[in-house]
Amino acid sequence: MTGWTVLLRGVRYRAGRSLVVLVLAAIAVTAAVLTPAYARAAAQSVLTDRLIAAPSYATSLNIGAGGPGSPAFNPSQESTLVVNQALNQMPHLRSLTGPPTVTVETPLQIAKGSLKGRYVYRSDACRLLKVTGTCPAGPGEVLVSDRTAKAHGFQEGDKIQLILAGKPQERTIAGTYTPIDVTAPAWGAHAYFLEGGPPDSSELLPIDAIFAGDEEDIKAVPTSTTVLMEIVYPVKVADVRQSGVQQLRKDLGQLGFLTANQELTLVSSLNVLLFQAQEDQEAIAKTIPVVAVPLLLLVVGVLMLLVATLTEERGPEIALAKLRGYGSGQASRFGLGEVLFLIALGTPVGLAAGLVVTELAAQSTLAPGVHVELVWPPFAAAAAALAVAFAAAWVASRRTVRSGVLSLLRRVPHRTGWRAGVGEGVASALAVAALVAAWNDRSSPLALLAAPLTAILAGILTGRLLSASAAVRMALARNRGNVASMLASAQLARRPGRHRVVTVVTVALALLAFSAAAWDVAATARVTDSQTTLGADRVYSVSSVDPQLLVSAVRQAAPDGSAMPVLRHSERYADDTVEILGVPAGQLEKVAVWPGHTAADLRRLAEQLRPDAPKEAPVSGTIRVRVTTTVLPRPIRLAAIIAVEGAGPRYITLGTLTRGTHTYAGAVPEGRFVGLALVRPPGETAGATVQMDVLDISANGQPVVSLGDQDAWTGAQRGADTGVQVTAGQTLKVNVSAESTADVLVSYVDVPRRLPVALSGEAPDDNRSATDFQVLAFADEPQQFTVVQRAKALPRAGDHGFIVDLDYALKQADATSGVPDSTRFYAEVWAAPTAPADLDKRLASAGVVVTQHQTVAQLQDQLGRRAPALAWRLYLLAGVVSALLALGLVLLVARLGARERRHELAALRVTGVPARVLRRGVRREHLALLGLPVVVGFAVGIGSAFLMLPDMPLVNVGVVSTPDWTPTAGALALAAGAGFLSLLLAVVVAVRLVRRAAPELLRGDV
Amino acid sequence: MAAIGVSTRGLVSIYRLEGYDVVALAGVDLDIAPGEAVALLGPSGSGKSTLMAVLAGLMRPAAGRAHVGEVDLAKATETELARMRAVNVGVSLQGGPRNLLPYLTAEQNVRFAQRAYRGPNGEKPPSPREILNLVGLAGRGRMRLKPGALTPGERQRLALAVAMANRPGLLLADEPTSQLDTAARDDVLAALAAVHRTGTTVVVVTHDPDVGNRMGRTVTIRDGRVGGEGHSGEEFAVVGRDGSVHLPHDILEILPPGTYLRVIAQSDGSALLVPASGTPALEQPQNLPAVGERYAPGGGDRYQGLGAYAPGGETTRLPVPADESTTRLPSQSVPSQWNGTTYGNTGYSGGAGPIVGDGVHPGRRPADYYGEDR
Repeated sequence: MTGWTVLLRGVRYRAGRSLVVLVLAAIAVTAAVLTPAYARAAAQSVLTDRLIAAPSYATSLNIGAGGPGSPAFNPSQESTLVVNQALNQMPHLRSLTGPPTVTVETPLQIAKGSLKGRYVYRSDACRLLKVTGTCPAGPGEVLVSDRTAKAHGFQEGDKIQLILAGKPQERTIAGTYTPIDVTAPAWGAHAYFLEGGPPDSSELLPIDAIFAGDEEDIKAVPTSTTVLMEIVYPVKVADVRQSGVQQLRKDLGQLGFLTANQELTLVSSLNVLLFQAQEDQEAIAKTIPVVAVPLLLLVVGVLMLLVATLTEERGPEIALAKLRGYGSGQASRFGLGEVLFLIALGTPVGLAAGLVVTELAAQSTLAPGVHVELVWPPFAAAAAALAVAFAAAWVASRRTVRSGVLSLLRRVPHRTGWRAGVGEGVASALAVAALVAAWNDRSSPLALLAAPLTAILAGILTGRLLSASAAVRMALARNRGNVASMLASAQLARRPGRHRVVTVVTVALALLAFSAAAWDVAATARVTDSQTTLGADRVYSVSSVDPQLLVSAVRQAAPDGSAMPVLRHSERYADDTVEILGVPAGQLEKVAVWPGHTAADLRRLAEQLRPDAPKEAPVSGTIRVRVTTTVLPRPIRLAAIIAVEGAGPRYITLGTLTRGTHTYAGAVPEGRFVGLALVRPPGETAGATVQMDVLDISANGQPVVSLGDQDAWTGAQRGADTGVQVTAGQTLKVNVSAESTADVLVSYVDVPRRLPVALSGEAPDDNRSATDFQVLAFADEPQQFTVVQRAKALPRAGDHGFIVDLDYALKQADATSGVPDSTRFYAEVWAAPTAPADLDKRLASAGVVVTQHQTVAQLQDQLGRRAPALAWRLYLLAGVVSALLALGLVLLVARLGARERRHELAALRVTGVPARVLRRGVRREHLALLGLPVVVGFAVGIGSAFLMLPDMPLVNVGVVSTPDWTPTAGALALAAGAGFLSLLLAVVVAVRLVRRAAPELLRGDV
Repeated sequence: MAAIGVSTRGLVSIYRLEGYDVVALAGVDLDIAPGEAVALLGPSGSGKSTLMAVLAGLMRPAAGRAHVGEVDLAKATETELARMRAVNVGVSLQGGPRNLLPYLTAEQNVRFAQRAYRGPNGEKPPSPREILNLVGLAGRGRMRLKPGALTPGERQRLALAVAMANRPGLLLADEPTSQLDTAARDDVLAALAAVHRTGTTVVVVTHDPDVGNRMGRTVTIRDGRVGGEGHSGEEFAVVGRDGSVHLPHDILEILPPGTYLRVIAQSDGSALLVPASGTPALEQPQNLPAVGERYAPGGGDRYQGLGAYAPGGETTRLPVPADESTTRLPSQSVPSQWNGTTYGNTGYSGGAGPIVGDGVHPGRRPADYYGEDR
């Protein structure tokens, strides 16, 4: 018979507890493996996510040249060959790149119709275009877009005169095209499809790009300075592994150097993206000790308790071995063999479980294509766990194994030694130091350990408190003759190792509660952040477009109002960026999302942003103004001011003002009447005094405006606020006392003079808390704003910006200085969940090209894969593992002591103690033993979360935000429920002991 | 293995319990010749189990000398003591199951005990079958049974077999017949006899005088000393090296502690113990312990008289009360469930004596068994 026989038979004899030990050991190793394995996968995930989320042109290797004499005028094959040769020297980079695409392009104009566009050769054009006719394959052939052909009357087979660098070139239209997908990454950042856009300052209308069949056609004018060549090597970003990042960076540097030698320029954001990913990876790496340290302490603590309990349990068997003459080494091997065997057996199980859990986590929560990596750290962690487990086993069993035979046979419980007291003292001192550090600076390394160390301190105190209070209660119960309380208190006060169980359970529950609370808070913060960042359920970024076209396109695409046009503009002010958003206030309630605010809040905001204003005065045809002039020093021209959408105010001269009553008339474009102007003749050197009475303003026989609304009329000299007095009534009396030579404006204001805004952060004014301010927003000159609501954060504007009603803002711009060039704004379309799913296609058909689209869900998903979320997820996993360890330990302790407890309870029943009293005692004992640490653990965990989370990044690396403590049905509620159920289950199972404690048990015992 | 003798001189054993030093053995002088069969008798707490623990090398003597064969128990290292238990001394603890691993078969239990054996010149231990045969458990079916499947008597015999696994020269058995019915007890005694016949020195701790009688020699341990000896059914008091003599309990009722005695040497070599008048103890009989709370096992001839063993071989007989009889433990306080075999003796007279013993005893607190921490 070998030692293995004894060992295996012992394991089988104690099958239940052996299984628990095996599971606990496996969980411990899983915990050890999980940290490095998950951290590695998470680091890969942030790298992959960064690269995948970036536009393909940002991650591609874009090698370009331009201008006369540059390689742009050489055949692109030559440049491609050069780059290929360079890449062949870098096998790693070469393996990551796909086949290149060559683009050669230059601007063009078409005399017919005053058109402008781009003349492009792309090696992959016909793959990306749906061609009607023939795809050009030779010189002189071009493709024109279907909509350009339709808009400007081009047809297949037509000869078309292109002007390249000022020189006409004739080409033949071989066919027409429609892009298969205008948003396809292959198009990159090129704005090829601009048909329908507004004319530029030279009144040239943009058209879609014209594609050539031969790159030499583009270079037809050798002196052209605007011929650009670009060779784009797509990078297979999903294949970029973090292990190869260093080599990739090195290769990029080398490629840049080699191409520069050939007068080619390498442009790629890949290196920047790799650095950004590295920031996230470093943030994850920083959190590892925060997770690993408490987990390690807990695992070691559980293992030590486990081994100590098991070896104590096997004390009589070890005594037998010693009695039969086993030496100390042989007896130790016999005593520890089973548990070490089970730990060793649990190691590969734990390793496999850790890898499987990581893989599952990777598949469910990490970036696509990220898997657990079979690299050395998880295996080293498993080996380290095994070594630590063995060391812990040796330490924990030392006292029992060294005990004499008689001590082991008597099973006199060991008293806690001074070493344990010192250990607890050190842990307590560290916890206090960490708390003090956290109080002063939460970002310090010691402060990061405050939560787990506080949990340990709480565990130690709870364990001691429970023992002490149980001793007191026992004395009271003895005096009162309360048997149930006496039994419960005796067990709590006298059973060896009880306070350690309490400590471990408290620590585990504290970790679980902290991680669950942190997860919930972080999840809420992610939702808030993503909603605030986007402002609506879906946001479509569209190419630069005329605001009015955008408004009409959205109205056409979503006639039910479920989508709205938004213009964004970022204005720098005092070294900070102010986000300015123009939104249709009336649609805010239906479309926008404002975290922490209800639909009613949005409705109220809309009402504030768009107060009632004088009625708009549309006008067209001929406008007639009847005026009685009483005072007029010199002839002054009278003009009507007409605001034309998107084109600014037009001054239509109606005639020269003369004394007496006259009617002045003029043809006006379609627009809004926004006032009258007294245009001073050139050469005036002094002010002027004019008194006139406007009797009537009409167009096409109908009155244009009411003259009786005092709020609608205002007067001033251009560039000033004074000089003109306007009195509304039956007639509009205008008294001008101009002190300067500036024109006099009598304005009909159909929008508030100061546009109401909701402001987050400080006002962009010298007085940061000002209510009224002016800033360059949606007009060519600063607009006046007044704050009607302040908020900590606004949808899409974040914590520093303001929202204004788009319609009012544009109307005011139209009426004053006009709307600036559309390139100054980011044009977006916000969509509610109820908006059409094919909104992008509808917008495209309405002439608005969607360049990107984001949803709150997507953003949440992305944020969920960023560094803070990944770290919190790891922490949550650690919390769950901790709870499982604690649960396993409780089960084990219950199982180990069950036999003795049954006999004790049976003996008590023999002495006449009723079963109900025993049940009550056992129930009280377990409620105190497990209930108190559960409650204290949760309280400490949540308290630690309150302490630490305000200064911990919840959503973005390096950015802290105020946690939202609103309870959610999330991880904390789940953990609390699971903890409560486990407690109930443990109590029920424990109480069942009494049923099995039949007096007959004692027959075999005595 | 050749039989091994035991010799102790002034053996003192003290252990600490609940913060107090307990003198378990207070100067034991004992010689057991190789091949002898000796029963250690005595009331609970008298120190007989402690004596056995010392002889097994499980406790160190606090003072005095103790030799088991050639091993000086006071000087031997732990390794030497372990080797002694592995080769020379077999120990059977009280309660058969306590000696056995419940998950091993009878044969495997014997093999387990043989694993530490390192015989001279690489000598192998005897086969388990041979050992089990010695105690009457060699049947094929029995050998493969685990302890739980054996009868209590068989378990006890298996415990003896495990103790004899390496054919030691000395077998120390603590209460091998307790909790057994008569038939099982006889089987165990037969097994012990068989062991003795192989030449092994057998030392048995027992409360059972029948067992003692079967051993040939009995040594009564009382208050940590050798209080008497019995040879061939005759009991003797033993004069200690310091001249002290332990009087039997029944004599103590006549001559309670504090009695002034006049010891008168007789011309024939014997001595008379004559109580002096005016002895305070005699005038305060209420201080004596109640007779009914004590149990004198067996009864009968042994206690009809005890004598001081005189060098000349003659005994001075003392008067003994005619109605002295055994009194059993009152049974009315025991619930009906407790109707099996009881064990443990009485004679415990309160908190004055040693509190470490070998069974469950009325009047003791649980803490006396488990310690105050339990």
